[in-house]
Amino acid sequence: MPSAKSKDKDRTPAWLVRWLEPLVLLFPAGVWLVLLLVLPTLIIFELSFVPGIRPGDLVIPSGLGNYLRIFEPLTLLVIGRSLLFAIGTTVFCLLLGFPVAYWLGVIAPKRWQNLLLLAFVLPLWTSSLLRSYAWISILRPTGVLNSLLASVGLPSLDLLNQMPAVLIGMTYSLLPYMVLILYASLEKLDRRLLEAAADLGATPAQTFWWVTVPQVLPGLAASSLLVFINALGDFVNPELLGGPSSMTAARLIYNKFLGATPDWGMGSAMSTMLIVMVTLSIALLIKYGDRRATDL
Amino acid sequence: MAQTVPHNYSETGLNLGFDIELRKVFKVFNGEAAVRGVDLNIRRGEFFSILGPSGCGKTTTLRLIAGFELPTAGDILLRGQSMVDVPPYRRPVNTVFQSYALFNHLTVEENIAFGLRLKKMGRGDIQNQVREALRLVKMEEWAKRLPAQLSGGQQQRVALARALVNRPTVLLLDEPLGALDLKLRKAMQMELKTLHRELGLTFVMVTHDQEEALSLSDRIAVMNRGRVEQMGSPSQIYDRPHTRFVAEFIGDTNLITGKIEGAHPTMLWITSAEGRQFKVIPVDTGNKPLTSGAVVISVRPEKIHLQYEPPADGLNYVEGYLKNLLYLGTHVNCQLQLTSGETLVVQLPHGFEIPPPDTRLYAVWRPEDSLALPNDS
Amino acid sequence: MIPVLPDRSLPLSRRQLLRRSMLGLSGLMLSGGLSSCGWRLGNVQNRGIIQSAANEMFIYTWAQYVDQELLKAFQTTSGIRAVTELFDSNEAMLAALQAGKGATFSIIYPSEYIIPEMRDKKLILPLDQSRLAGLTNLLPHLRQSPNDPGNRYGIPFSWGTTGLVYNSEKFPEAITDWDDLWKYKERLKRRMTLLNDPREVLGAALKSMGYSYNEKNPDLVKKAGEKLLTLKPYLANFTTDAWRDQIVAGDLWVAMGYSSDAGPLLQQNPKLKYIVPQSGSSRWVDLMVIPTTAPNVEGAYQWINFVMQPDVAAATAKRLAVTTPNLAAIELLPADVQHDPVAYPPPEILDRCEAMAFLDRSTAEVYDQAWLKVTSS
Repeated sequence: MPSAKSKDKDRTPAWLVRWLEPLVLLFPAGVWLVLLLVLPTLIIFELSFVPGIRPGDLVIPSGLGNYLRIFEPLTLLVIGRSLLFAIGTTVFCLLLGFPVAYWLGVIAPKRWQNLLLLAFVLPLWTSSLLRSYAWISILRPTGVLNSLLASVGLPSLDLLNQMPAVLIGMTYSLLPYMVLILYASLEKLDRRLLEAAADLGATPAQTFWWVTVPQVLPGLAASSLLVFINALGDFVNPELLGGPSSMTAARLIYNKFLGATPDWGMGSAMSTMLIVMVTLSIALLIKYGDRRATDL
Repeated sequence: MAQTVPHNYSETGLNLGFDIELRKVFKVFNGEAAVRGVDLNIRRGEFFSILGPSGCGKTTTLRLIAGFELPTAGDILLRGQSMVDVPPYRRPVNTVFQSYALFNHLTVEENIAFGLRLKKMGRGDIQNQVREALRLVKMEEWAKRLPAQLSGGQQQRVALARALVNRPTVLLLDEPLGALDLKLRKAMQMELKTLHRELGLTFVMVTHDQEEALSLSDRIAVMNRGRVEQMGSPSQIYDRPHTRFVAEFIGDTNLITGKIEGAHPTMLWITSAEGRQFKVIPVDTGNKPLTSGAVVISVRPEKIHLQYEPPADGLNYVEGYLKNLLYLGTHVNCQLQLTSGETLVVQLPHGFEIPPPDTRLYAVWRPEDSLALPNDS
Repeated sequence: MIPVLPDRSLPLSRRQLLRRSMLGLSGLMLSGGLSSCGWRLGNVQNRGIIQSAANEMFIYTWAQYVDQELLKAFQTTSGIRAVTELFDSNEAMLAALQAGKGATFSIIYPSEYIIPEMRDKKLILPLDQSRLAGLTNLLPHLRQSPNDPGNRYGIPFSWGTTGLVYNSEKFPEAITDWDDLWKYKERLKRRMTLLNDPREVLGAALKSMGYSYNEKNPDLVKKAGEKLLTLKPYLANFTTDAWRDQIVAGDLWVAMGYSSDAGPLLQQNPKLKYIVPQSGSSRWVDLMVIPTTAPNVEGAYQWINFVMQPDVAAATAKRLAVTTPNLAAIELLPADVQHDPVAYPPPEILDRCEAMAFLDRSTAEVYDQAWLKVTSS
């Protein structure tokens, strides 16, 4: 059957299509990812094995020295402080963000939702540095907050240059992310499930705890993780608001790369460690995040 | 929660045996009345259906009973006690939702145990009752599954079990079978009927499927535009519709518009628009008897006989030509093109030899086989 | 990069904190990685010279040093359109340069202490003295800097001292030395800041103990770090530019800072005083250098000569509140400016100050370790 044969020749073979299709579709994003994510990460990974490297030095990987230095008490203290800031920020974002997202997603009238959401996301359009400076002028001893407190006869608060200021600054910076993701999750919440719970005898509080929270658990986990990761990587707020004892892993990494105490090897080792930690937690979230997604 | 209401009934001491009473209930959404002055009395242990087209207010009525909506006006009583101020979680009713509303983060077992756990029931008791409920809906082997792993019919059974396990005073069913395919729906109808008989509970079902309502219910309320048009047994609703809407909505019928020419307690004389005379025996609807004005005559297709010659005096008839034949499995309907231009649907009797198309035929019915209804549209 | 102005009322700082992001770093490392010829990903090298139009030139500088007026004036005289990009630390600038970013710039403004490192790594060109005019106008002590004797690589643009700014109203006792910080630490608790810079802060501590700002003995550097740790609980922060609005507002009482930043603040708040501590401090110079890869060397020389013109230098010094190294320009300034002890300190003060010296690698690491202890604990 010569005619059928020539027809086959014109058509791209199915196996080729099967390979080409994903290749063509993924190529642009793939190039982007490889150039701007994979390659730099590999460079950091390589640098992490070079002790005391500074800009311009030859890269000669030689052992795990940089990683061992992570376990020095001082470095562990810095990492512990980072975790404390990040966990604290996540908890505050949750406490402040959940009611807002709940109200926006479940209670607020539909036509107001977009406007209110916009208002909430607006701070994201300003520079993070500018926001930190704004907090300085609010929190400083004679700042806006204390003027307000004084005008109603309350004692002044000394928050700036201490941990509370860092938590305030980071919570403010990251709250929009928390609200946005939780809102997306809560907005999809099936109201009929809330009615079903009430129908079965659950008070509003019981409904919230036994139905709403489990329903938005994936969103809760995702938003908390996002806030946590961002808080872990924030070095502007700790530096500007945190005072003399606010060295965090992110600040240390920054100093090791672009600061006054360059050591790209140590900075890379700490970066690698953070990347591994963050990747692991994301992987865990994806694997165990959503029980409902399980199918037959 | 299925708190059992004590049997002290209404404060007046009157026990009419009603589980649910709706008194002049109104519900207005954004200036639009979804329910306008509904009065319902649902007897203890009966299978009661609220039937109507979409948007008639039937689901809102059910939600008012469940407590998800508060009435704008009127009162809702459960076993004689006003429920208006009682939140849904304290009403002794449970609902089977239209789309089941199963908790997708819980297993079948956990879904069913949800209400019992809230009642702080002992672990062993919960286990027993859940097992019993699973047995009742024949879902024992699926106990550990998640709702997403079940078929629509299975989810329906779980929803039923989740509601029933709480032993509600009244079980509310919101289009419970709407999402199932025809065959499954028929099977589930049978099971619902059996469950109702075995449990002896009051069932209140909302449906738009008249066949489902007719076959399952002890009594039916037909709703239209926020009002109850008629309440009664299936045969009353079918054979003695009180309004043109009910006649049209329940089953198939032919409507002939006309005017009352003469009225007598035992007979109405009606002239159609084309001047043809009809006789109809009036039916007591509890309303004021019709004596004059515009009416429609409703004749069910199966009450009409076809013949080749005009009938003897005393019978109603129209003449027309045979047009389309509609094969419906158990019987055949045909459309008659009337000389007045309208069409009439007639159910052909069993064994009637089908004449060729365009045959001139006479459609004949007895005065007692048709109804005169006020032409309110 | 976009400079962010925390407070419009304050002039820019030499070390204005810029909007920094690690993204810039990864891009920077990438360009190095791609261009490296060896197998190592991380080896970074300068790229080749980038061709650019002769009438265009890029300048890499601090936030305070170049403004639109200067750029416009330069374009009028030379016909070259100059464009600035900002950095906020010598180390960031050096890292960017190492990664090949220097290839776009024809003029860079590094600080004096980093010149030896740039020179040794062949990042900057030796200057052709015959193409420079007005070198004799430079202040004598700036011509013989140990880091760049005879201005072979860089021409000073701005210079100053490091000292302490304090609020004489909040703290009437005159602060005269570094040790006063320790002496009054209880009263100054959380009212004082030090620079966020290991060399300056450790150097100050060393000076207070009677050693050199550039001490090379590791034990002494460690001791300086330990001394700083005893002050740390009383500090409000280590910051290089965020202290400025807070000290003007009265929230901070003492801050370590550069004379170039102190000058404008003293004018805003007359209660503020600037002192160069008795036991000694550092003096710094920021210079103009031409990178090895400069695309427009001719333009670079034109720029240096333009900036060095006495009238231009005087106008720039006035407008940008910098201290000019140009004697001929100083003579053009108003008398009160010429005799301002903050901007133009008398010789006896300058004699107390050391220029920051370039440190060899192992000493630098000692400083880094000491600094890490001070800031991280």
